[in-house]
Amino acid sequence: MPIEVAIFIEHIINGLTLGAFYALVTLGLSLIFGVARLVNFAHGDIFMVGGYTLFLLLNLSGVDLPYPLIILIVVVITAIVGLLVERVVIHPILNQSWRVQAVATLGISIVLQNLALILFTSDPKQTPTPYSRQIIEVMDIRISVQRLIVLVVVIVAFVGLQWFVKRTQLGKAMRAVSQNREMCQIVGIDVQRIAMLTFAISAGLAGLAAALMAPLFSVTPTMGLLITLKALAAVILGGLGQVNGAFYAAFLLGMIEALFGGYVSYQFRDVVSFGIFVLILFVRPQGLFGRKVGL
Amino acid sequence: MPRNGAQPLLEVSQLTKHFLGVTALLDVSFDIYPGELLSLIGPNGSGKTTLFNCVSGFLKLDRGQVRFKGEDISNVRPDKIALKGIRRTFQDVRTFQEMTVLENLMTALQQHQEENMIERVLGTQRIQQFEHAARERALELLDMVDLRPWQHMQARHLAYGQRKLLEFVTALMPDPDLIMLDEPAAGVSGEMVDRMKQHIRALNAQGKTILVVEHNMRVVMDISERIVVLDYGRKIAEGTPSEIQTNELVREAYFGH
Repeated sequence: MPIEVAIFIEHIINGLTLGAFYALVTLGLSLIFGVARLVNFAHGDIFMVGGYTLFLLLNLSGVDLPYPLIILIVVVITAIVGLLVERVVIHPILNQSWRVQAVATLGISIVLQNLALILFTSDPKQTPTPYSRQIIEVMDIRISVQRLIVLVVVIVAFVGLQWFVKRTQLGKAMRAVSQNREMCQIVGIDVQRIAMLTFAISAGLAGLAAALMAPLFSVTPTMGLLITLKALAAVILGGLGQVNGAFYAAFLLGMIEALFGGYVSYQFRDVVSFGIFVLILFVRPQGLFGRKVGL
Repeated sequence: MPRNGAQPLLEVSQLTKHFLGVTALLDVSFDIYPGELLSLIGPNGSGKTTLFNCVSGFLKLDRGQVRFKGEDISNVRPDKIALKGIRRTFQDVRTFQEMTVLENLMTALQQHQEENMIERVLGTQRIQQFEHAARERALELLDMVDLRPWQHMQARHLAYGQRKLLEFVTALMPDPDLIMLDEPAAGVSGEMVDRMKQHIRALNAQGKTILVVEHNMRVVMDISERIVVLDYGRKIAEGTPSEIQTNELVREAYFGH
């Protein structure tokens, strides 16, 4: 296979992994937006907490935990962090204006960042797994095993989440709450409990993303902000409240970044993805998959 | 009126509610007995909807008590009250707009069943039986109000009258002990009013206890066993339709002095 073609395919695979990663983070963000009607500016920081949890678990002295178990522990811990954040900060402001909510979630973000700074300093931490340096080569195409794991797990997680929302009582209740909170109370759905569980699930998804993706780059206290912004871009691009739209938009962003980063400039890839985001909103203010809302 | 010395199903005693100094309800008391159809009437702003909201938990009471099956349910959260067996409709019709007609009904029942996630994943027989029974009941109710052909249509595409019927059967879905209907005949065509009336009557004939708020006097006089009249947040009369029709205070409240 010509080397150009092999490289192109590698970039496409990188784009898919990056997109899968954004999709996972974005899913969590749009779940919370749908159910609690608030934008969680601390979502990326929950990811960061997941990254440091992974770092600690990989460096436990004397214990060598298998990677799947580590992923599970990271998901559980971030879910608990999400639950705590909901109980302590979000719960009291669930029915407040969006300004109050924005300040509160930005506050959570600042607190988490500074806690990480105190505990781990600003030095980037590496979190290599046994798979992140393992490369498989098929017909001149070189892919790290870690990236393949990311792709597979995200697809499984997405299918699982679809099933959960469509089939289970809790999932249906989440759908119901995102449509009409008052109506939920009439049919006996405990809105507060659903909001709490949604936060836990959303944080768990961010944790899953961290456990999968952090091994491919390093963990720093301030890494959350860019992730929140990317996820937010995908949510808006997909059309607010359209969970599936946000999912596809996340893949689009990942693909743009991987191709631009691979062929043009790695440093400017964020500029390009946000630039295209702004351009698309010029043409379709309702997002790519959003329904047009008349004013 | 008490039947065979039965306990009241719902007891409202000295219910009082103020809004920023305006008295919406003052010392309102009445009981509903099992199997009864009681209507709440009164001129605009007399406190009927406020009373509905207080009983169903959507508003906090300032004073007084609401008891359901002997249990104090004053200031209990609306979702908890719903699960205790009181279902209501709204004057301005509420449905899950993005769900299909059938999903609306299924959602109204689902919360009554504690779910075991493992059973759900395995799709055990118990879960399947529950789903099957729920679907059967939903389709029965849809047949009753002729909505079955629309079962897979999203609620937002239905006509107003159809949504009203959907909201009505959604309230019936979990087979509640008390059904509260807020203006079931408001905003729909004459033909639909008659259909609503028939449905309510049939339901009551099956032994359901129903509390109705309604403006349409013809409907109220036709279907009610007993009527409570509110005016400026106070109960001014209570009695059978014929008693209410000849009551001087009620005439004054409606037609002025």
